[in-house]
Amino acid sequence: MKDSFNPSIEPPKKTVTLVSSDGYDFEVEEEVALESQVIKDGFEDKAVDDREYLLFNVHSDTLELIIKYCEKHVSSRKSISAAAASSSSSNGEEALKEWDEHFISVDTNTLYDILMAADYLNIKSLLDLAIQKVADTIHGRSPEQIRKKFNIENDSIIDPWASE
Amino acid sequence: MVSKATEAGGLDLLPTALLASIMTKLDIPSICSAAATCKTFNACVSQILSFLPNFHLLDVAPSINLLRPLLPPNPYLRSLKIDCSRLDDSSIDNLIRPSLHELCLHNCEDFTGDLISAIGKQCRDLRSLYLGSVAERRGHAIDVSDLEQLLGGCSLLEVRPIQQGTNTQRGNIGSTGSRYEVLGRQDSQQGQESPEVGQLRTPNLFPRLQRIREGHRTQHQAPQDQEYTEVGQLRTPILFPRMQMMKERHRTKHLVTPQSVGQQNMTGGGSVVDLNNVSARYQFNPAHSHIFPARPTDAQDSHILGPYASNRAQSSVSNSAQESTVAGPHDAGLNISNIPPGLHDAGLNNINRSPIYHFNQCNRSLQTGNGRQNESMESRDGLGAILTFNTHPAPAPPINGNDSSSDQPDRGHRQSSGSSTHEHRSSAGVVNENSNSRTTTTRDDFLNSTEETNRTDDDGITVGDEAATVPMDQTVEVRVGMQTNESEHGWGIIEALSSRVHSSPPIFAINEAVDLLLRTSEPLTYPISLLTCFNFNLPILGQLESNFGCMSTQDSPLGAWTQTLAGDFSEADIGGSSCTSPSESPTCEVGGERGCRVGHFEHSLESPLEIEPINVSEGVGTFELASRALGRRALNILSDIMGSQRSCNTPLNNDTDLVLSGPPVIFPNRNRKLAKEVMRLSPTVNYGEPPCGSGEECEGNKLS
Repeated sequence: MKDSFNPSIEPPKKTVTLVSSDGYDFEVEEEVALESQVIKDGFEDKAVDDREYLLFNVHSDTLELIIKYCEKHVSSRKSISAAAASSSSSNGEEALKEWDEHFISVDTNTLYDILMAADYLNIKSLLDLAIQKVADTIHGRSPEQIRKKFNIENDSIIDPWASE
Repeated sequence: MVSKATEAGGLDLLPTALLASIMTKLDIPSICSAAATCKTFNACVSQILSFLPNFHLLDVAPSINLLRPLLPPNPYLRSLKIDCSRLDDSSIDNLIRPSLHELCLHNCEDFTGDLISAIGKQCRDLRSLYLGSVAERRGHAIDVSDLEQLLGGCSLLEVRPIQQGTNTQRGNIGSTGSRYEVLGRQDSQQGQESPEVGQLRTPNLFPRLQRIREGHRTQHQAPQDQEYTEVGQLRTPILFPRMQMMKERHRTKHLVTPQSVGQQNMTGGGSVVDLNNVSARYQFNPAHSHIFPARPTDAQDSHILGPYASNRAQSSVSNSAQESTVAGPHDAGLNISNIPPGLHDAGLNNINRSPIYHFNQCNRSLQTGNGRQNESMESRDGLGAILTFNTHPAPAPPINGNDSSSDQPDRGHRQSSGSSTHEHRSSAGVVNENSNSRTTTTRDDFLNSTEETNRTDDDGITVGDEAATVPMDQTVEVRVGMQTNESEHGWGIIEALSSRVHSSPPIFAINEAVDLLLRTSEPLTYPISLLTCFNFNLPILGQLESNFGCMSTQDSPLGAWTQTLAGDFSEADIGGSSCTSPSESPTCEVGGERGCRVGHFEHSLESPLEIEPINVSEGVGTFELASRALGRRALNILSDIMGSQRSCNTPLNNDTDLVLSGPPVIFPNRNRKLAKEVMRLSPTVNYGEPPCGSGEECEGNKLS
């Protein structure tokens, strides 16, 4: 009997390995890894069997969060495109936005790490999300509050509003 | 595991580019706060300020010393929004940038027209302009050339008036004036039009701006812009006549001789706007929103006469196609009659929406009325308020005291208006008129009248000099009472009775219009015609004007003065002693209707109660407040305005009936004759129970 095409059997997904600064390996799908512009730029240059990326500036904790973020966005993008193709109403974008807000609601140190990692990996959407979060955190705070919130050392800059 | 952030330190260790990205997400106050945290942030902020596209700082009013480092040269600055309360013309160079596309300057009171001119010179790409309260500070002015510079330079702006109903959602800034938008034109490149691009809050600029713009367009632009021109014409309001007075402001302020008054031509002394077959003449003060009539200077001006012989402000909107525009000297406020049918149908709506003038269907009888007849004008604005003017019997002129008995007011005596011949007595003589024809006051008559007023009365007090701003032989009672006869007067009645003091004190009954004016709990979003201030002295008028915007006080005893000065109350706070116009002399007949119209209440009266007690240096009067609707607050305001003692405003009946009676409240007055007259007559007035709470305070009201 001739083998027929079975759609339930998916071809094996291509994966890449991301190595954190503390030596942990994270095997992720290629599509997820390509969310990073840095990985994407060097992706074609690497051999298929040698797609391992050493991320010296990204801690494993942070890398785990970033992978989570990228996976979520890839899956959401697929679902949104599928919903658009089927002309069915979907609030995937809003759900993704809510998820982003929840995702970025972390402590300051973690936010700092995410910001640095997103900048290093050049994940634009995550970088914008983190920057906006930092900006929102700064917004409306006094200089002293900002120092306290972000652990900034006071090097005696005069408050310009104090004289007013 | 240990977080990297914990090991590394704070946010200040982020790369500069990343910090700059964060900073660009912040507003200006937050940027300033961040800049004050550490040197790293400070350096970063100093960098981003040189390429920040938007600079919006409306929460605080920075001084120029603070603003200067925040606004370094920035070729990328596109939007600038600043509260300019603490800035003046010296900071124009820091504010106006050629790269600006949007400029929003609030509270520009201390600026002059140079600001507008500078914008026109430099901001060629401006697509959005908001200037709040430009040159509203006393003594500043906006010259027409500045506006020409603006509209000539900013070719991407167009002008249109803002309709009244849309004001509240746009952040009304300032207290007076109408609002006009300078809108971005259709951008041919982008194919988009900004929905709300700019506003000019300087009152009554629209027609002139429109004219300038159209003229500029005619000169410099090709005919393919015809569509815009048509749109602009459609947007043209019907009545915005006072623009032509802008250049004449200073000249008007210094009308000190009758010759100068008489020689002032219509171009300077008034404007004639002929739109939709409607002619209107007003005097214009760009710094205020008054509605002041044009002064007749030419015998050929058949639309305006008589009132000026008696120094009565007058303005009329009449059908220019007809010759029956008759306005008696006792007509109150703004007279509108013979409105063309088309205007009733279509144009009237536009009038109703015009920020300044709220004219509506008017009874023609007002146009032909005089002070000796009781005539009324009812107008119903688009918001449902009925404005009623009632002309009451006119007493004799205050100067000619001997004939007062012949002109005693008779409130019960009312005649219907119509074609009967009326006799107007004034210092200039007698003007006979009827509803269809009249004797026009010539220029010589007018000059004679103004000269005649500048004479000395029998007690040696010069009437018409700078001190004579209040009738000398007159006491005043201002009664703020309930609406006595609603069926007769309707809403917003202004009932003014004034007479010579020998028989009964002149009484003014001011009803809920005053109450509405003075109460601040509800924003006044509709026009009311309001108190009239025949015996309100100059500071009161000035204060009311400054608080409530466009208020015409043409029938006040100072009407002549205000008329002459085109509504500039700049000297009101110093007691009005600087009134120098000879036409200010109180030659207006005592009594009659003293119409005072508030053209609009565009602003929400956020702080009208911030009426500072002013130094009332003239005028006498008593208050009797007996209105249920009039609250204690309004009473306090009135008391403050009039300079009376609060103790005399003690409520009688559970805060519902407020009666200020008993010893008449006598305001400080430098005119001893007037004071004596008041003191002599005050015991004859029976006000009922003195409600004074403390005797010593009431004693303080009396002049010794």
